[in-house]
Amino acid sequence: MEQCTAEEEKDIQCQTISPKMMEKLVEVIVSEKDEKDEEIPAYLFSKLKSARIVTSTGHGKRYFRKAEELMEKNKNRFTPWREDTLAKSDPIFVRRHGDVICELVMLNLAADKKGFTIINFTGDMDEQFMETLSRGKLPDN
Amino acid sequence: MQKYRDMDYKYIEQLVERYWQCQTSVEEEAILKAFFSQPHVPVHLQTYKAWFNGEKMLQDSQLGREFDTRVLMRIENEDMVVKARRATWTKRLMPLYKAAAALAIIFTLGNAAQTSFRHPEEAASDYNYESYKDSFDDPAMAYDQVSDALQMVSQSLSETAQQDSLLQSSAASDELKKQ
Repeated sequence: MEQCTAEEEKDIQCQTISPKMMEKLVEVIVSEKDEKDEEIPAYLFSKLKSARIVTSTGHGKRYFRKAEELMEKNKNRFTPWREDTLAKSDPIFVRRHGDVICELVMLNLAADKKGFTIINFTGDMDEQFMETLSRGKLPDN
Repeated sequence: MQKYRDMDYKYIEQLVERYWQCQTSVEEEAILKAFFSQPHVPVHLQTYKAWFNGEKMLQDSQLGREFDTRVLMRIENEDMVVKARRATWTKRLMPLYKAAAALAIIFTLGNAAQTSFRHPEEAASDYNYESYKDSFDDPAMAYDQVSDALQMVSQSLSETAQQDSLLQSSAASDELKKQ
């Protein structure tokens, strides 16, 4: 997850939001809080340190399988968010440090099996963060 | 000896006086030494006797045979204690091993100290954020991107939770039907 291969693969794009940009982002959200009541809670952003979103428009299934293999290979580092889950949706893996999740990775294969997305967040994501996300219904932009 | 006894002590006194002024010749000094070596020296000249006889006394004082014997015995004893030993490579390299061990201990302790004093957040984040190059210059665009990503994660988490609760309730009702 640390290295993007966007240059090697034309159908892959990597978008990075560095810790510095994330800080700016939080500052902007806090300063405009009163104007935008319907935005995603600033709390969620404040818990993030960086974000990387890798998207592919083709070979989704192959990339998805490869990503799952990598996660399996690094199972000492990443564990599934819910190991006892019965549902078969997008797999989410986390890296914990004590009670806090310091890294979250989600793999998403599009319905047409061509598109593929990896979302990688780092930060100090606590239980409240995960609960807020699990409740869903985040306001759309 | 007799001739010195008859000598005029004044002459000796004069010689002594000249001796202290460093004006005496070798022959005169020999006369003084000869005079002071005699057993009977007048009382007022007794104080100089030791001075002029000192050299002779030093020549006379010799180490006895016993001294030589003791020194020889000591040397022989030391020879018996000292033994030639063959130094093995292990023994020769022992200082090197000791230095290496000391360095290893220092590095291990240093490393342990570094790890224990590291801030928990630092330990958790082993990413090199310096290498991160932002894809957006505008925070508003970055905001949209992160918001979309959060939406996707949120959707997946809530779907998982819903599916889980449905599957669990269906499994529970199946269990009840069996009973």
